[in-house]
Amino acid sequence: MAVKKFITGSFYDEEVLFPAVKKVRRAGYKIHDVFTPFPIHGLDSAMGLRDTSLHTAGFIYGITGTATAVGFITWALTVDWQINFGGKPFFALPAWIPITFELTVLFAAVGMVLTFCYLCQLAPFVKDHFNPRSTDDTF
Amino acid sequence: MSLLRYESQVRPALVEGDKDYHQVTEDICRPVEAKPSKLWWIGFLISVGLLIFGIISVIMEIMYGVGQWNLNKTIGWGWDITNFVWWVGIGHAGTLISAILLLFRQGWRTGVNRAAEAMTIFAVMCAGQFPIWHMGRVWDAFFVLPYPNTRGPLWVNFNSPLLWDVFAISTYFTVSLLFWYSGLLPDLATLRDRAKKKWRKMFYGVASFGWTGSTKHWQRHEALSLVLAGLATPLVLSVHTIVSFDFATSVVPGWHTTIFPPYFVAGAVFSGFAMVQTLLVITRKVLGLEEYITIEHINVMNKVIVLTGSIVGIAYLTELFMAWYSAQPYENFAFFENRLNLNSPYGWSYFIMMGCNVLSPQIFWFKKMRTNLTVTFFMSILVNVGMWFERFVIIVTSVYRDYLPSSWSTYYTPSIWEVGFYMGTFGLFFTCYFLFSKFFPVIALAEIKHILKRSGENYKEKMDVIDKESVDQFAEEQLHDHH
Amino acid sequence: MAASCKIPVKKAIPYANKPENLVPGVAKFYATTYVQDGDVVPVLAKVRDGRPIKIEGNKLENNSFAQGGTSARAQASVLDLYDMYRAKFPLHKVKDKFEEVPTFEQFDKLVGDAMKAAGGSVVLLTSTIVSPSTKEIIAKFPNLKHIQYDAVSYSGMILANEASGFGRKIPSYNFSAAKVIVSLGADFLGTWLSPVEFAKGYSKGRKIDEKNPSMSKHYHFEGHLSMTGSNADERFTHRPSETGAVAVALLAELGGATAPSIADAKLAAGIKKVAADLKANTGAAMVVSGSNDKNIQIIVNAINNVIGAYGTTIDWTRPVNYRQGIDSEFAQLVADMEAGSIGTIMIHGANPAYNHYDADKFKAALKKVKLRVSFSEKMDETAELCEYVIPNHHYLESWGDAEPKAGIISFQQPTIYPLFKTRPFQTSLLRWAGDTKDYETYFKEYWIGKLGDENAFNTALQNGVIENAAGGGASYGGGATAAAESAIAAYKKGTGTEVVLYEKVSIGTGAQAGNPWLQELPDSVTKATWDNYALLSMAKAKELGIKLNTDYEYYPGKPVIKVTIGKKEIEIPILVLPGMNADTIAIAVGYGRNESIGKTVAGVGVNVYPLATFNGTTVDNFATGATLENLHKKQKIAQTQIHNSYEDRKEVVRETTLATFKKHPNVIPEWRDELRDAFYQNANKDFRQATLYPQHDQPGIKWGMSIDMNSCNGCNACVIACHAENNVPVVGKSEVLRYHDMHWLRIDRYFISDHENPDELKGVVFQPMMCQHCDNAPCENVCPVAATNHSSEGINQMAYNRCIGTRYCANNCPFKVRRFNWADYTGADSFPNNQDQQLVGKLDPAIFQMNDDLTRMVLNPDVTVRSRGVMEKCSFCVQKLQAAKLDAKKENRILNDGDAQTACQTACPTDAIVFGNANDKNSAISKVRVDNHQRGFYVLEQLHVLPNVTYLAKVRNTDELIETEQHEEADHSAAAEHDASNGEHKADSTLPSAVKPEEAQH
Repeated sequence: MAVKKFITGSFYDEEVLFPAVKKVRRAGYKIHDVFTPFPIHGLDSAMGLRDTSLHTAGFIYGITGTATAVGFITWALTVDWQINFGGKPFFALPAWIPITFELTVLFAAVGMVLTFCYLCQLAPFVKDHFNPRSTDDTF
Repeated sequence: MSLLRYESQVRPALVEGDKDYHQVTEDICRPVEAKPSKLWWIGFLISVGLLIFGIISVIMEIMYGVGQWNLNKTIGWGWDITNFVWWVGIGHAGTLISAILLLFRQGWRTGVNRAAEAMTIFAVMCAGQFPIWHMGRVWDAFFVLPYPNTRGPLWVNFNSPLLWDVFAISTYFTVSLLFWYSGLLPDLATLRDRAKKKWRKMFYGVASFGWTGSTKHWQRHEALSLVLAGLATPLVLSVHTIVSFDFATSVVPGWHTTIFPPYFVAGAVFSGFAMVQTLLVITRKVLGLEEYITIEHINVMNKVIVLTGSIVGIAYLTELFMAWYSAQPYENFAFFENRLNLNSPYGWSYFIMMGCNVLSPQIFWFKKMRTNLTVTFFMSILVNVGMWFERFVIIVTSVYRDYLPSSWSTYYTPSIWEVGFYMGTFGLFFTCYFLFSKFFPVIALAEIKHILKRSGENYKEKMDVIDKESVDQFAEEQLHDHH
Repeated sequence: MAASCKIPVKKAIPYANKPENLVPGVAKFYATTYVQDGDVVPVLAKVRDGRPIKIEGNKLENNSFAQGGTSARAQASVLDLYDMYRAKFPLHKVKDKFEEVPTFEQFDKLVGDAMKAAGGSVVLLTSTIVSPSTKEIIAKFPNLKHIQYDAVSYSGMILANEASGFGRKIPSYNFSAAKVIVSLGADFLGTWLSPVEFAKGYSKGRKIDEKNPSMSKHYHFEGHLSMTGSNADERFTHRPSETGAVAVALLAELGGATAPSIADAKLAAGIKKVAADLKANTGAAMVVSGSNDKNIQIIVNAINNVIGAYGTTIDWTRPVNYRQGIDSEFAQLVADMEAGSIGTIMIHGANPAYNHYDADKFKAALKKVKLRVSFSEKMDETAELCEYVIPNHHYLESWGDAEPKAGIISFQQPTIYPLFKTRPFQTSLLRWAGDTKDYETYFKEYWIGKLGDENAFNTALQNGVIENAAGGGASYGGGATAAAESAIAAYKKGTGTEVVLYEKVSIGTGAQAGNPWLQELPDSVTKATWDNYALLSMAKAKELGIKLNTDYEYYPGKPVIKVTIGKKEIEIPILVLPGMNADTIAIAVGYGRNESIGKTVAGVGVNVYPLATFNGTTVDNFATGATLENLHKKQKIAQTQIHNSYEDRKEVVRETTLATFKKHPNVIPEWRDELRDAFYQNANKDFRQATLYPQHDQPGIKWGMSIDMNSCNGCNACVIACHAENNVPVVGKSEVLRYHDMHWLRIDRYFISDHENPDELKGVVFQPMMCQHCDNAPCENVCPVAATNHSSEGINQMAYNRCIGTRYCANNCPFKVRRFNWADYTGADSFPNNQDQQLVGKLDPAIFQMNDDLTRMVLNPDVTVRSRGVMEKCSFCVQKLQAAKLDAKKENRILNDGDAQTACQTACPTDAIVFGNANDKNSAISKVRVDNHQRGFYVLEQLHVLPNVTYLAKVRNTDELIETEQHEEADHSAAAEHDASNGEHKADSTLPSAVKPEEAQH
């Protein structure tokens, strides 16, 4: 059983971090993770991480919201109980656009945030960071 | 990838003073970690006092009915919906700053977006009070939700603009909250990691959801922020559009207009920015954050104010023109008799609106005025007074004299409980804001650090220092390696 | 209620005969008669589970009298039955305090002994008695002197008729036969003599057949703007003291007298014109006068004689019994009382301590009478001064009869067991005269004797009205005219400001002033509730230094003035009204009543009866030489409408003159076509394509209503009927002041007057306004919870339980007919004790009265009592429609036209409201729409909300030609139309349609 060894390093400037990351990668080591106090653009590709598919998930959630809204309202007002409101037809689609839109956004936003929390394993619990300064000014 | 490209020196620095990352952390966390100042306590207690007045007012209204307000058979909505629209409008600036400006990559937003987003959430909370408590039977408010019930297949009226409001406001609140809180996570983690006291560690530990700052997380976080911003942008436009539909889809002259959606959105941005100005001018002073919320921020915001103020002005003039050009007597009456006529019962309110919203912001064409804090503060209040009157004018002066002259109303002035309710929402708003400024970083830490090199004063000077190796080049190399 | 248990059980006829028909929850109708002093209206009482809850007109075919019409007061009388302030048991005054007398026997003994001890003569003082059986009982009472006293006296007229040879009587007036009607201050549609009957007749002459348009012509001379005056085609104002001069001048123009000088040129010209018109319509004209001056009435009789009114429009074969009091007889009685020659006085119906012009004198005189007994239903001002009070039944608890006109009898039968320990005053009279019979027995025997047998009696009770042959009449003998003329010539010219006292349709003489429905009923002309006030002309207001706008007064505070006449002075707020004579102020009587008749009247108005004057023979309802003083303070008057002009909004009100209508009969349909064409043009002339959404099919029933604004005279009977039928809450003055009134049906009143000269009033339009039940209802679209939506029968319906009270629907209602329950007016709220708010919106005592358990017995169990926080509005009386449909279903037949009627429709004395199934081509509503196509329009038709209520334009019968651009266009197009197919205007009763292009674009 091979023993995995981790080496940690701390940097004070992202301008130093970048070449370091590159060098480590070039040397054939796998970088487990880099903790930074703010997002550093390009670091993910420098580390060889693949792009997140959160966008796609958001799109699917949004479409679900649209379908839910149109489907439910259509069912409720044209099938379940037809009510004549102000002479409008039972299937009064233009009047449903606002709610459809809102539900699209709501589903997409809530879905994405939940997915994000799930993927990142974030939840309201206490978790100490092994390096407190990595949320301040070190990398 | 422009990470290490510095910004043009022509642009003024967004962060002043000689700052490094740690200094930024120290500066922004200081108000949170220090004991609250005397000023904070005074403000907080006044807010709580107002909140209590508001709660009493609402209790009176629930106990004894909407008759506690001075609305009548002709004026069904008065201060209640005026205040609702006003608060919703204010709420728009936060999302606009954080979402639209994020999409437009306006770096200056970082200094103010956190506070603005918080303001959005609190303003929407205040706004939401009005449509709830203005109901005659609040305890049945849940009827607006399409839930399966014992009354058979009875759903709700999806055709009603008021129901659209229910969805729009709740969605807006939810999305704004998510957007704001997801942005807060890294900063809360910073506070957690800096915490000395046990309760603080616990509190921020729970609140930060165990954020670590892992690159993978940051990557997803960035994606999330971008998509949420993309969603929030049409959302913010839709919300005030839908609020305007409350009026625009009706038959009341003065409400029934197609111009309302863009006009309401512009008005919302206008009033929202004014409210952000009010808060920032106070916050930077009270919390000593002058170096992060700079005169430049104030200047840029004032530019937006004069722009949106002028848009609103054009909307007013368009309305007047259409009222005349349409030759529609009822429309004409609503505008030229109910509003533009100073001798009509509510003529004065129209002129207050015009004065505050259209004329007074024009002084912001002058940079001297834009960068003057006193003028800015005064103007920000004036704009919000004007925007309040805009809603009052739209709601009350339309409905008090509409089609049948027989039903034209007596003079409407609010009762003490209507005023109390409004004051109460101020109490709620500022109580929340004071708590927020005490327990949360009012400036987005991570984002400030992110732009520090581009826009920090001390980094600006190092323009000539260019990194040795391009990141893009490196990335390409890596790609080849994998093949 | 416990008191009622002790009453012996007495059964009403239908109940006794047909108990097997009594189904709980099913209403029974009993024919009875509303009698209030001299006013008589044959009615049906709707009884649900033993309690009368609604008054309907008796529409029996052989009822030629009121023909099913009702008045606001008759409609409201059912509430008086459940008045918690009624006197509940016999009382005896011991040391200035009233104590209950446990039994009637004890009471009879007490009174009997006292009467013996008192000695002297015995007097029965009553208001006008119209009951023949009662009159017989009175006549049989040994040594009884019967004096009739009317709060508002007609003795001048009665004496004048005597002088003119007709005897001490009042004739029947047949308004339907008159082509020219001239009123010298007689408010015959509102309060004069028998307004319900007159309104019916008058409206017949005012209905317009558009194939041959004609209508009666109504001229009105008066000092203030009365309800009847506001219906006149042409009005002339003068000082009240000038009435005599006007009458003589009119007679002079007709050749019967020497003309006095009339200073006012307009008035003089008017008299000439009227005289010419009267002459031209000899035999089809009548002149009526509201004056109580004998001489003036003699002149009026002379005029009527000249114009051939007797035997044509004025019928002496059926003299009427509404008013019989003679002022001089009462004056003599007061003198006798003062002299101490009266031992016993029994008072029924009369209340001189309140409504006599010299009440103090009466009160002082009353004290000198040894035994004073009152039969009053309430502890009114006079009853309080009596030693014994034995309350009478309410008419809905009583047996009785009324003979409003000679030979026409209308019966009363009890519809409920007496609620309290009360007894008919006739029974008391019988007992005290030594007869052991009670009135019920006496009454039955009396009528069985007259009608032959019990079956005939029962039929008469069931029908309510019997009509015997008319008498022989009387003929005119004009001897007194010359004397009257010279007497009038000697009248002092009025100086200063003159005060005229008038009755309101709602409150009348004040007998029903404790009725919250009536107090809250907006006055026809002023739209004010809960108060009386001085009506002032603009000119007079200016003179007093009061700046007021007659057009739009959005602050309820009105200046208070002090009116001083001799030693009498009152302080009263003013209302400026167009159409007032500059030197006349008018104040309504019936207000300022004592709180002992109910908390409702606390602080409501001022008693102005003392301002009346005695001219030696009769009481004049005006006073001259008043001085006014602006007190520079304000008092609030609660009006339900504060804007007076319709702002030339033709889409709201269409009114025209007969001359214009004849010349351009198609103006309205052409105007509607124009709107429609504009709406069509982008849709290939296809109406259905012109909207975004198609129309719903509405097979089966589609309810529709038509309101003839030419028939509506603003009498408000419908408003009270709606209140009673639909449990509409009373909100009290303080809430009306906040514009929180709840009327589902209101009568919008618009003045047509000159903006430059607001005192010149051209006309008045009454427009009953209720939910229009739009097919494209704007209110339905905006309700978030689907609480209001459209029924398959075209009704805009409300589900109160579902309503959460956002008030959005009310904002979006262009007709502003939706009413919101701002506070807990009904006590139906789930919050306990939430009616006692002090800081904002303190509720008036009237609300607590309406919420009393007893008063709540008047509620219609078919209609939900709405709680606080919900919206409500006219439902087209959906409960009545459902009941009619169920009846039809039970009988396995289709619904007949007329089976389903709304409350307002049945109450209307002028048949202005037609209701029914608009999908049925043969229904009355469809016919009305087709037949009146030239006058029909929908209010705010351009909005395309497709209302289901049609209005028929108001037509004033004048020669004035109203020429507008539209007419000119109409003339042009009329020429071009001869070959075009759309030359004929087909009535379109199902598709109200037209939208202005501007609207469509929005």
